[in-house]
Amino acid sequence: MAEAGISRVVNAASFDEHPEEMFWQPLDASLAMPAEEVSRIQLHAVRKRFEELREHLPALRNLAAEQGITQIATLNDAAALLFKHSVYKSYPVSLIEKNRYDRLTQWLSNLTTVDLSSVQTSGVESIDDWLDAVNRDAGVRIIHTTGTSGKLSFLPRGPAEASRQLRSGRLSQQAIGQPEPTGLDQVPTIVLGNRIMYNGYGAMVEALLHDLYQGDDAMIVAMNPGRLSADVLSLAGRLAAAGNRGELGRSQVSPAILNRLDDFVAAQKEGPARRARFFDEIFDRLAGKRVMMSGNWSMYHEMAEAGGQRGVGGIFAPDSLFLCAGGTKGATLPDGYRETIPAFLGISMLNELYGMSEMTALMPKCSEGKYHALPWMLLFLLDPETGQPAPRSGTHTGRFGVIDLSIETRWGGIVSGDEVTMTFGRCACGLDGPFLDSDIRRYSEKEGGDDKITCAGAPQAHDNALAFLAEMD
Amino acid sequence: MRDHGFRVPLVIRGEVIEEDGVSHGGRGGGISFTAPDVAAHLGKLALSTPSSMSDLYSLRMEEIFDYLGELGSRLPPSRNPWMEEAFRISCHTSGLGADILRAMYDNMDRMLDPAALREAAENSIGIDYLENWVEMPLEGPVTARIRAFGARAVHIVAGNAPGTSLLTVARNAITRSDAIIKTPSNDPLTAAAIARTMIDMAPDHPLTRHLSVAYWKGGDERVEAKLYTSGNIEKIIAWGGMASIKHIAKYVQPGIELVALDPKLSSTIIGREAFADEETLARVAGALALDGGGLNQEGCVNARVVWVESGTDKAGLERLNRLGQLVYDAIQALPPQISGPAVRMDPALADEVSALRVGGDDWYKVIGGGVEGAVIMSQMEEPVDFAPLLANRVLNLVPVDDVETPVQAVTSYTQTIGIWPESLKRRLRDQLAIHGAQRLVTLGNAVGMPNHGIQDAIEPWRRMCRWIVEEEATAA
Repeated sequence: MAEAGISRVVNAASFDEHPEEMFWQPLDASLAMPAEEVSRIQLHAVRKRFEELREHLPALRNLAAEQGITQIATLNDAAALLFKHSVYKSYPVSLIEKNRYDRLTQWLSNLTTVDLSSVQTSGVESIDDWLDAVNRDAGVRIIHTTGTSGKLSFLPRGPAEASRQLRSGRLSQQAIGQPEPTGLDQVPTIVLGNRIMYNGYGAMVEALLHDLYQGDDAMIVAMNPGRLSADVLSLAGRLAAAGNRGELGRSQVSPAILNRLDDFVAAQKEGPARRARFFDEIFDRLAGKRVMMSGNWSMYHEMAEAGGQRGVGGIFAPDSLFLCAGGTKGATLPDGYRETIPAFLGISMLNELYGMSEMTALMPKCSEGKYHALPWMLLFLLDPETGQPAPRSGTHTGRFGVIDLSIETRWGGIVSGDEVTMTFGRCACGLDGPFLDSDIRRYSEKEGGDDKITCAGAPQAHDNALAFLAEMD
Repeated sequence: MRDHGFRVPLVIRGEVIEEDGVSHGGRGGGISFTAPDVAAHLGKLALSTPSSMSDLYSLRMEEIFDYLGELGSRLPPSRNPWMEEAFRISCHTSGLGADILRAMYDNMDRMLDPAALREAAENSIGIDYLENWVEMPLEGPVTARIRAFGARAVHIVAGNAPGTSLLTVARNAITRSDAIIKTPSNDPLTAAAIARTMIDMAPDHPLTRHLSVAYWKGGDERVEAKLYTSGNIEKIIAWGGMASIKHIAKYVQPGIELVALDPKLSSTIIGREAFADEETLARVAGALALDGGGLNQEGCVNARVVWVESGTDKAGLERLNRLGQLVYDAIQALPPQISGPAVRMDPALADEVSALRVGGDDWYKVIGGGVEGAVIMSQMEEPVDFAPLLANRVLNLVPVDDVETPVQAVTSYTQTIGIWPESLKRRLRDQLAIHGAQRLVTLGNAVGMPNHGIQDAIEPWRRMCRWIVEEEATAA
């Protein structure tokens, strides 16, 4: 049996109608497509997606009506159709407090083409239960935020996207100009986080388990065997927000969640010891082995520090695959971390990428240090104040927006919170744009709070949430 | 014309210091300005000798009211270049539109009307206590005499309306205090302009010599750690948001009292009588528009969440939605010196409102949503989750079957509640007060504040004073 996730022969003539097919061509073939050809395919594809999806997604229909858009004449016309992140949390939070998961499901059905009528919500008394129910009954894996305000965003990923999850990971593991890695079904995955997470990271872990490892749980080496609980994140945020408004003590906390809370708090107390055991294990059992891992610089730094304390280095096999997205997540890392961390891991380089959980794949970094769009990503550079798109030529700085044309069950258009510098044109590396400079920051950094859908910050947020809840006893 | 690169002076007790010490702001389309480095002038700014307060006690209260009245007459920008400049800069920084600001600056003389100030001082402190030792007969062989003295205080004023600076100057004078006003970055000049007007008017007057105005970036340890000590000040009067109050609270120590003019939000309760007939409903909508739209909803007194006893069944929701449309229209019809389109949209709020519009009508109906404001009509008995963000003339009408629901929602962070009809106000007032509400007004009167000084139950006038007792043991 052929290993899953590897490229296959595709028919370029089908891209107009099926832009998601581009996923399956080799990475370098995707990147080598001339910008003009990509624009032509994207215009056709975005019209098609819009036509198909607005029939099924009331939220898209309403946005189009509000913006007065009936058809898309140019690529930049579609910039008016990007969802703001708030669309994915426009439900009343009281639905959760009152256990109205039937109505929450009904709300979610405005945002996905997948039929959710089979989702069984009787007996569901927590967000975690509901996430499981929607996944089990409708094949929709929800990706949620860390919810700093207590209100989580819920982004539905349907079965069509799930079928490409492993391929998406494979694309991220391949450096530009290098051959696609193979033999990965024998390569264990290290997870610096929880075994079960309903975020982009967790979706990838599930895909690896089922589609690559054929269900062999031993191939996933997670720091925390437990669950990243959406309820813990939500509850801590809600109570903190209530406290800030002087309403502490009035929040309705469901007994079902309070019952589980003790377990979570107990599990967290074991955190440091578990973490030590985890590092002991991977530095020992996996030393010299080929491994895979996804993370950001601060996660790798944490690992390198743990190794430093144990006096170990150059741990893994040189053909191990480490991908790095999300920058430093605001952490200040010691000088030279870009050299010391790969050395510690035992590899020559980490594969750096840019993207967000709202996209089905990440943008790879070229030899010139630029992040390149893949052809199903229709990028926009938006004025941070007005949302107007910049002309599709030259270099501009502003807000990153994207319509991921590979997404079939949900509208792939989203405005990010990131300030980027985007160039439409040819990169010094030889590839056609659009591409992004590596210097990317979040608009909210200067404003404080943040509720980005995040892979890497989530375990930290979970720990903080538990610490907060534990103190409240 | 952009007013970038202007200069904010440091005023220390009658002396104006103009140096380009430190640059501030200049990011994200905001203003930029230079101001002297306050840390370099701390020795002079801090009043470490309480005895220098004694000159204030040579003044009679009537002289103080006269001084303030005269100051008021000099403030309108048409005849005061300092105030004209402050007005012009505030047009770039304030959340209020130029028409509203113009009206505020033009009417500053009214805020210093001696008769109104006398009334406020009498009601909130008692002029006798400011002027004399007031005898208090006690049981037993002791007679007590009480007097309200001024204090050395730092005032961290809010920038949402220029009147806050003027009110601070007036209260400081009337309580015979020594004020150091820390100006906000969104109104960097008004307090300094008032101080300069005082210097022009009466450079050596004790009231002029007990007002200082400084700008430093909030949180600047070089200034705050040295200034906020019990040797230099007795009180900190802080207007402002949660973060700012929490930050200042760390300087509170024995000898320093914090008078926190907390962040507060206001709401509205409308009884079922509003739906008696179309004429009544229109009148209620007009009054609600004033409470919600006046001052562009920039004040703590403005209505935000509006509880309506419309009922929550289908007919009730229709009644609510009808009121929503009338209120929206009435807000749009408010005159420009009272209310106008948002000057600066809060992007987080705009996102939330647009998500509701896109999300469909299941739980919320939305009218409007751009700079003109919006009315969100909940279609269930709950406010929107982002209710604390409501601003920019965005109101949230919430239907209820029973007025007990809004009573339960009142907390110690609730300030004003506008109520209609009067009979409902009298019926609910004790319960609302017990839950935390602080000012209950006839609908339509939330923004117009009478000068009784009691507005938010914090009693800043009384608490700016140090209440001193003299006891005389009398022969048994």
